[in-house]
Amino acid sequence: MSALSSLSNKILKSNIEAMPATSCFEDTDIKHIELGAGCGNFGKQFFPPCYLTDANKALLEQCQPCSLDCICEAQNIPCEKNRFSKVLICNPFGYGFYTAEQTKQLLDELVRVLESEGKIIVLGNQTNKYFKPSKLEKQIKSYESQTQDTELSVEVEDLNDKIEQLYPNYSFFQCDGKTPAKVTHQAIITLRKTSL
Amino acid sequence: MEDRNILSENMQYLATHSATSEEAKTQFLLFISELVSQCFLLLLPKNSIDHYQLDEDTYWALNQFLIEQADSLEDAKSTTEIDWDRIEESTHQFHKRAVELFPNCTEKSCHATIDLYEKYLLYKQLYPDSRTNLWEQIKNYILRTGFIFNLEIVQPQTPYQATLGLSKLPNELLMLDDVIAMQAYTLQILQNSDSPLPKAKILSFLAQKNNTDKLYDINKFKKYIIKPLQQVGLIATENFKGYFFVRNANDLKIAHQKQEEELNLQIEKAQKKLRLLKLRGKAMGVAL
Ligand SMILES: C[S@@+](CC[C@H](N)C(=O)[O-])C[C@H]1O[C@@H](n2cnc3c(N)ncnc32)[C@H](O)[C@@H]1O
Repeated sequence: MSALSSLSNKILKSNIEAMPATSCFEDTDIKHIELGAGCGNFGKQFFPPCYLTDANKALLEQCQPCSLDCICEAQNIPCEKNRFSKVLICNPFGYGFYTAEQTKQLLDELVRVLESEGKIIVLGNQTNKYFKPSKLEKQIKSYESQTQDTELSVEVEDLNDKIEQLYPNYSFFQCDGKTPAKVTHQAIITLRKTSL
Repeated sequence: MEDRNILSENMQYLATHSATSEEAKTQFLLFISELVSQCFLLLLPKNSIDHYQLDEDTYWALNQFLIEQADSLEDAKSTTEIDWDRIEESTHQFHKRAVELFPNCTEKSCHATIDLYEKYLLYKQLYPDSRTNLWEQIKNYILRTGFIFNLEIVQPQTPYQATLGLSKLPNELLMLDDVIAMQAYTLQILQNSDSPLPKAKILSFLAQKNNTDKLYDINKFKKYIIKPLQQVGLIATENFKGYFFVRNANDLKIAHQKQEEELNLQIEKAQKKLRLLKLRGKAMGVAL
């Protein structure tokens, strides 16, 4: 039962023949990547240097300006394993931690592209079902119990209006790219690969 | 009452109450028109609403925006931590029951309805005693009549229309007016005018914006465009001079006064009805 599964299907279909994926992440000094970045530039502003990506090819024309470096799905990042040290996700919609299956799909890929001790930083509203901060730890632990060689620890913080101090003067948006989104929680997931 | 109880109790009604698809369309349009006017209230004046129109992304975005802005709507701060397990259990039960009753309630055709129900539950967790849970009325309608709403915008047609799928066997499709764009245009013309504008002027502006000669139905215009915008204090009217955009404290006082007058009228009507019932009671020897 996925309320926005049609959205991700739409995105999936529209992405065939997106940007040439192989040339996406050539600069090996850039170890951060933002997923589902939309028209924003959160990663470049607060975690530079950072690659910005999104699954929706239409954004290349819609965003003014467009800072995206690559069109790719969060579950299928065109790069080698252990490529990044940080993955950023702001207001995930259409992908994320909704069902156990979605969570597994996403985490399988993030565990692959992250190096050991790498971090996943997720920001969003507590009413966002693709984030579910109050349930995230349970979801992650359940995922962890099915995997070998990876330990995951989670810290979830209720930002309680601290968002302005942490990420000043930044506007987040809903999926339509024009309606504001309100971030209430931040989760930091740290992963450790036990056999490399 | 526990969400689960509400659910099992109301689910008894599913498919038993007969309602027409026209009624269902009206309910859904009313829901969208209130959703939009409340969102516009919160978005203005910081954000531009010029390009708002009914498409799927906008529809979902506005629903999510409003739930995220619950604190502003309630003018309070909820300290509730959302219990996602409870929400998921309730929506799961809802979905299961709907599938039992309507085999054509697939994941795809039901997801919009389930999302509405989920928003209702979320708001209820944030503000259990709220009387302004926007999703409550539409949730009640769904449970009472068994209509399942599915917003499908296959191709943006004229800016007026989208398609509303009503999954009550057999599956029906209805054209849906674009009340999002029409509220946005109405605000736009009123914001740009120094004097109040009559309905006819606004209607011809809407037609022009939508590239049509046909004027939008006046009753619908009052119900889905004017009334919701008036209710949130974005527009007002005084002495039949037409409608104006509420810009300052004085305008707002006028808008407020108008709502108060309407409220008093409703109270008077209700009091009259009670008096008549009391009279009937007296004839029957019952003191009401
Ligand atoms: C709510 S917007 C958030 C945009 C931006 N991060 C912000 O917070 O302002 C969600 C974004 O996720 C993207 N998205 C949806 N499904 C995705 C997927 N499977 N992989 C990557 N991005 C996806 C959408 O295209 C959209 O731009």
